[in-house]
Formats: sequence, C-alpha cells, structure tokens
Amino acid sequence: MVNDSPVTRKKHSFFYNWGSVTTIFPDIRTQELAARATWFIKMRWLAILACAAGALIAVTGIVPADVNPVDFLITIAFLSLTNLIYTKIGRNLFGDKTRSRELQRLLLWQMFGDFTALSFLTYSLGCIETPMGALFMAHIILATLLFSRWRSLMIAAAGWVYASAPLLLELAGIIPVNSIFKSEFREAVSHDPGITLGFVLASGMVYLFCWYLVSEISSSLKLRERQLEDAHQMLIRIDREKTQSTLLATHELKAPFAAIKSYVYTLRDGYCGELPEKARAVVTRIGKRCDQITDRITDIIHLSNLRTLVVTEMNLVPVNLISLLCEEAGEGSLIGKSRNIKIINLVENRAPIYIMGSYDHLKTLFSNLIQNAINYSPDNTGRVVISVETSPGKAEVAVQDNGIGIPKDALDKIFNDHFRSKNAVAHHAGGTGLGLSIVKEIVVLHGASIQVESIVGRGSSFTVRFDTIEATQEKK
Amino acid sequence: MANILIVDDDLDIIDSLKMILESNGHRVSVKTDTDNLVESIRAASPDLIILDIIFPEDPNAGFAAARELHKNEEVKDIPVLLLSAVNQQSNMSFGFSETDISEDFMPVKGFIEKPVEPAVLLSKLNELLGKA
Repeated sequence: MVNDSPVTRKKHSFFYNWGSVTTIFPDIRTQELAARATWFIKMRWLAILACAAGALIAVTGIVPADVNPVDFLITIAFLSLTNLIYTKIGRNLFGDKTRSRELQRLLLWQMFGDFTALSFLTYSLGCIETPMGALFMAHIILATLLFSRWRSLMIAAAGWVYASAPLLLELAGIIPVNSIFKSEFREAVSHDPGITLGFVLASGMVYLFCWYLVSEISSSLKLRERQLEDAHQMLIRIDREKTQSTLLATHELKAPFAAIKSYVYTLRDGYCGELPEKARAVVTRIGKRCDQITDRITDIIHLSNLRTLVVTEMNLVPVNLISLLCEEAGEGSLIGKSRNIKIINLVENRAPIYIMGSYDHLKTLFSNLIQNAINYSPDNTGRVVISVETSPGKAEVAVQDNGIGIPKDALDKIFNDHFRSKNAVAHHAGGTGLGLSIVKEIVVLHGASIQVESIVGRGSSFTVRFDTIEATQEKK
Repeated sequence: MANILIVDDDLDIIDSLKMILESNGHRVSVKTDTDNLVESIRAASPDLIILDIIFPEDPNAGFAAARELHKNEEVKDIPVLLLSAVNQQSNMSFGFSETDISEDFMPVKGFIEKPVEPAVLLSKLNELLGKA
C-alpha cells in the first residue's frame, strides 16, 4: 500500500508542502458528525421497537391506561419512513469527508423529525401524564453537543415549543383533551390557563437551564479540543522542522566527506595519473576512514532522531515481516559474499506475517542485526540463520550466527551507546558501537522486546518479539 | 561525446566530476546555483544535466529546479541526473533514492549518490544518453 498523503508520506511531505500543514481536524469533526448521525439513525430503530412494544402493551391492556395503539402505529410509520430517508441521504454523505455542512443539515432534519413524532406521542400519551419531556431533553442535550451554541439554543427553543404545543392546543380548545389516566389533576391542568402556562413556563425554564449547563460544558470541551488541535498542528510543524534540520545537519556533516571520498575514487581509478603502490595504500586508508566517519555521523544522527521520535509521529503501517526479512537476507547475502559467509534464510517460504510498524525503521533494525552477525562471524565458515517462530498474536524473529560470541559480563552493556566488547574490537575494528543502540530504540518504539543469547566462541542469537496483526495490506 | 552541465555548489565535487567526465571525452559546463537555470541551459545546450539537491540558499532548490525544468517545454527533454549526499543507503527515515523518482516528486531520469563512484557515474551517463 503506497499512501501519498502528505501527512503519512513523511519524508516527502518535507519537500511537498513546506508552508502548509495538512489540516486533518475538519475530517475528524466531519467523521464525528457522521458517526453521530449514524448512531442517531440506529437509536431511532430502537425507538421504533419501543413504540412497537408500547402498541403491544396498549392492545393487551396490561397497563390500566387509555392509550390508542393506532397512535403508536402512526408514530412507527412516520419514524420508519423518515429513518429510511435519513439512511439513504446519509449513505451518500458518510463516506465524504468534505460534506460537514450537509451532515449538520441531516442531523437538524433528524432533530425536527423526532420533535414532530415526540409531540404527537406526547399528546397521545396524555401530555403531562407521561415523562415524554425527558425525551425532548435528551434531544436538546444532543443538539448542544453537536451544534454551535446559538443553533443549539434555537433547537432547545423549538423543542420546548414542540413539547408544549399539545398542552397549549388543548387549552385553546383546538384539539380535544387526551387523558390516559383520567385524573383530576390532568383535567385541572387542561382547563386552567394559569396552571397550564405555569407548567409550560416551568418546563421551558428546565430546558433552558439544561441547555445552559450542557452548552457551558460543551463549550469548554470544544475549547480544549481546539487547543488540542493547535497543539497537534504545532507538533506536526515542529516534527517537520526537526526533519529539515536533521536533513540539513546530515548534509552539512556528510558533504565534506563525500567530497573527500570522491577525490579518493578519482585518485584510486587513475584520473590523476598512476599512483605509486604506497600512495595507493594511503588513499585506500583515507577512503576507509571517510566511510567510518560517514557511518558514525549517520548512526549518531539516526540515534538522536529515534530518541526524539514519539510513536504518534511514526508512519505505522501493516508490514509483512516475511518479505522484509527476505529483502534483508538478500542484502546480507551480498555483503557476506566477499567473506564467504552464508545467510541461511528459513523464512523464505513462510506465509506473510503482519505487524504494525515503520517500514524504514524495521528495515534498519534487521539490517543492523544481520550486518552485526556477518561482521562477527568467521570468514569462509560463517553462517547467519534468519528464522521466525509464531504463536497466537506473536512473532519471534531470530538472527543467529556462529561468530565470536559476546562475553557474559558484556551482555548487559551491548545496547549502550558506543560500547564494544574487547573481542568485538579485535575481530572487527570499524564498528561505531551504535548499531545495537539503534536496534534497541527501534524495538522500544515498536513496543517489541529483544532477547540475546550468546556463547563466546560459538555465536550469538538475537530474538525480537512482536505483536502481530491480522492484515491484508502491506506497505511494500 | 556529450555536453554535460553540472549544477552543484560544492566545488570539490564539481572538480572530481569534471576530472572523470573530461577524461572520458565529455565537455563540461558548471553552474554553482539554480538561479536562471533555463538561461544557463540555453547557453550551454547540454545533452544531460547533473543536478545537486541541497543548496545553501534553499534545501529544496534542486527539487524546485528539477520540477521547473520538467514543466518547461524547451528543456524538459534534457535528461536530469540528481545527485545527493543524503541518500537512502543509511536506511534513515529520510534521504532519497532512485525509487523516489516520480512525475510529481522527483521528475528526473536518474539518481546517484555522493560520493560519486566513477564507474557508477559513467554507467548511469551511458544509460541516460542512450549508449548503454
């Protein structure tokens, strides 16, 4: 899977959109709205089921109330029809991250559709005789969370009007009084303007109070969200600046040695005339020292880069361990060839194993382990074995060699910066002592673990344990 | 033999490239920045351009120049060979390699790493000049 988005394609984004940080938050907000709209639709199906249960109760007469089951059926029909329309409209919107306004409109339609159904049901269930006001309140709270402060106030006011309408229409004599429990209090409320208006005003005050409380909390949450967005944007900018300065530092440090090495090549290949044997040897040594310094610069910068990296900055993708190990085994074979060291790849025919990780860093991890195994193995008889063991949810990659081994007292120091055991220095002079420090940092960044087993004179085995994932896509 | 334009700010790299190229019969012109590159190309009429990526005035200058040349009808057919010391050999999470060549990101014909191995450079030149 090759992802070209500037955020995920980190190294390229540095050059792509230098001045613009891709805004991912509107997408998150839209996704949130889409999630809520979907949730709203699902909840409505539950409400329809509840209405069906209400109709059943009304038909069976279990509850001693005079409820007309037909009213429930009308509500079910209305809610089902509107919910199907919302689903159809939503299907076109949910996948499109740019249509936040349309999603808000859809949510608004859902609010008013529900208010209509609730108002009808409020009347059908005797207005103040059942706690239908709580359902209006739930919608007002949701509106406060989803919409702007003033829009949610308008919705709260509309909810209040819808909730009070049946009672006021009864009072005005436009619709007949519908009492399901036939209580005296209900009769009094329906015919006494003072009580009715008092009730309507009191419920309005409660709605307003609820709106105020929730909108205060919601505003504070939205402010925090904006601060988080700003902080995240700043982190992205800092990360890019860090990448740029690392890149420039690498360039500034490596460029002079690249120039020296280019001269070494021209001298070596006779572009400045034939060199005497002694001069050729000196030139070769200059070239080798150049390589060592360049490697050291690369390792130091790489290590400092890894230590300032946080997991959220990493481009984590599903990585197929098997293909990555085969790639590294192939590169190891080329390196080992000159010293007749064999790389035995036991993972070649294995089925893919996926882990979440940074492809580049994992490549460095195994490249360093295999390179180390080659460096400390004997010429001609050296063998480096790469294998994988799996258990449910886990994978263990082992890189084993028959090299010089690590002395027992050095085992706990090998991951320290610049540490090299005496036998390591004696066998391979050119190492930077940072390869295993880099390995450790990458292991930690991937939430993996590493284990080392070694016998001096017989070889070492490095085992890295990863959590695996079920995945069908790989990065490369 | 070909006319080659080297665009690089590092005089030592230019010097060693010139040694290699002139010894192999190529004619070399040099430019140490990317300013007015199209005019310089017009004047030198190169068969191939060797272009560095990072310049002191702008770390993006090489890429910007490559993209500008790619859009210019007059010069877009001249093959560009990018050159950089920041390469992928180090397996770092940044740096460039031949696999980064693409129409929108790195619209060039080839990429080689500094330090420049004479054999690698000559083989790449032959490939890009159609003499492989």
